[in-house]
Amino acid sequence: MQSKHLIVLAILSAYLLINLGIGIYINRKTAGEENFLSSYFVGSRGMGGLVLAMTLVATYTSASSFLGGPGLASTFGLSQSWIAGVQIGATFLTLGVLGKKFALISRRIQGVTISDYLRARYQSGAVVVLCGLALVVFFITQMIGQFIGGATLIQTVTGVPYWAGLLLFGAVVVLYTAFGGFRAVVLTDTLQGIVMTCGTFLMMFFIIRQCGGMEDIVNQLNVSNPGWDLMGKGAYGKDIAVLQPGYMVSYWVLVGIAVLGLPQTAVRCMGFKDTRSMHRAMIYGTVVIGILMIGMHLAGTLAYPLVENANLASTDQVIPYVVMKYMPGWAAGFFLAAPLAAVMSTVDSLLILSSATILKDLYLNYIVKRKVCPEEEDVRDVSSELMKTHPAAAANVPKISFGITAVIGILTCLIALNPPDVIAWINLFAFGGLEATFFWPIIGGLYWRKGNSKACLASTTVGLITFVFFNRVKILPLGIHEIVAALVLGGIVYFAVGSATAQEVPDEDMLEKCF
Amino acid sequence: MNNKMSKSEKEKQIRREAKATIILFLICFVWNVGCAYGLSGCSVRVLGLPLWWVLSTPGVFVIAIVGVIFLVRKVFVDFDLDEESEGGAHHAE
Repeated sequence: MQSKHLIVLAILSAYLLINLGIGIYINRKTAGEENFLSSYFVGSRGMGGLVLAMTLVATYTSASSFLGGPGLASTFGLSQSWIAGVQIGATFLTLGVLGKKFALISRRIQGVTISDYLRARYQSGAVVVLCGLALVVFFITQMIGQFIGGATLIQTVTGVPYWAGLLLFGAVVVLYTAFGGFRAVVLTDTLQGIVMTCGTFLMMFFIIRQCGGMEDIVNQLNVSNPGWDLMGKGAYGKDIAVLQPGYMVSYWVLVGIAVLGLPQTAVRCMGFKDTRSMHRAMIYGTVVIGILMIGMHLAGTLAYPLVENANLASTDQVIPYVVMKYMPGWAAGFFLAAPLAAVMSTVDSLLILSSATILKDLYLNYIVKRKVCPEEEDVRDVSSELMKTHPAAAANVPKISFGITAVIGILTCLIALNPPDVIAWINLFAFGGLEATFFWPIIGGLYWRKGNSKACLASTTVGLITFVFFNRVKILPLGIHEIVAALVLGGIVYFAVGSATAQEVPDEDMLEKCF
Repeated sequence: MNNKMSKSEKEKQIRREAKATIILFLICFVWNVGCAYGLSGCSVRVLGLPLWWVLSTPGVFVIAIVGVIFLVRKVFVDFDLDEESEGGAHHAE
């Protein structure tokens, strides 16, 4: 067993080093490029189809797609795999609805973050501050959650202490993101996406082989996990619990339509090269996400006979256990790179966007602006102008960007060493909370001319409160998920307030840039 | 392709594409939920897996891919993303 641990550790380390290498390589290659902000934060808008597809999928796919979800699928059976299949729309929906809009607007306003867009669209400091705050808080807690997942995984499979595992791969992610910026993020995402796809096939292959083919697995499942093949089966227990239809169908909102409100995937629409790349990415991304999600969760379902008598502490242990027990060392190492890749590709994207948001909104548009033009009161994004007109301030921006990225990353890592309870608590809301915050400001703002800052603030506040309330107080009928209530109420408020407070003629500058 | 579109033509085209995307998404939704609940009592199996799952989950995967290829070929249009920033409207001040 010991030598297997070493093989796995060696493969994982090699994999981490490759990622680090990409970051350093990009840093060397792009040093001294003209427009630093656009280069560091959106890769000078140069992503092609494959990279765009892979970075979208990899960002979206997190530790839970490889560990938590498939683990649950082992007890919940095919129902969990059905839920995973709902995510099929994540890429084509994001690109089809947000893609070209954000591509055009971000070029007009030289924007690199979702906050830049909100600032240009709503021309309101309050909107930028509220959304920016929500973004940074939810992103940091999500990053901590991902770090914990990754470090726990390394600990389980190699025996390396938790803190050492955390520092090892935490350091790698923070370094390549800080050094290489967005380009390193999307390039490593592409590599990670490929690793995840191969890992999924490996997993399917070894599970089916170990159980002696599909027919045997099905016979074993019928005996050991009755109800595995029923739609809406609950956790396996003395009697078969049923997942309510309202709960199941709610996933079409939570991981379906509402993914349009995730800033980390939306911002990728600012970074692709041309429409052709976007069109290709819609096809590639749909294929890859389908393979990953459906494949991994089906594998989890089929793995139940292998873990039935293992007395695992939680379903999170299912996949690591199967990997270490039934896969040879090389395959285990290669497969485990996949969930690690899922963690890294999520963390790096959250990190770079948090850093961009803080740099532009706090440093450039607040601190530097105060210094160089203290009399100006409006909320325009002046960062690009400042970069041109104040070379002294501009010269520091690369260093400060590396610095902010590194500091957020290191801080997140340190908190993950000994996470306070509040982190786990906020993390319950992080994914849905981001959707509740950003969905209507983004969608309403892009397609409804009358949408304004008041509508935006009201709907975000109502959405967030509704989300947290129904999350705590489970009174929605049929097991409907709180995100459904949050988006419905948020939408009603957005359009009601928008209609009531709409100006006769919307601001011309805004119309020029956003429509 | 037609990459000499005006600003308002692009806006119109984008709205058309967004609508088509949402329609594809709705088709996936109806297919996925419909097969899952509609066929959940059916005892037909494919490779030991129940028909409701095969049609709803791998099935929606196939529908999504075919649908996206259709969208990209027939509805989506290539146009230039950069041309209009040359006018320099945003450098007015």
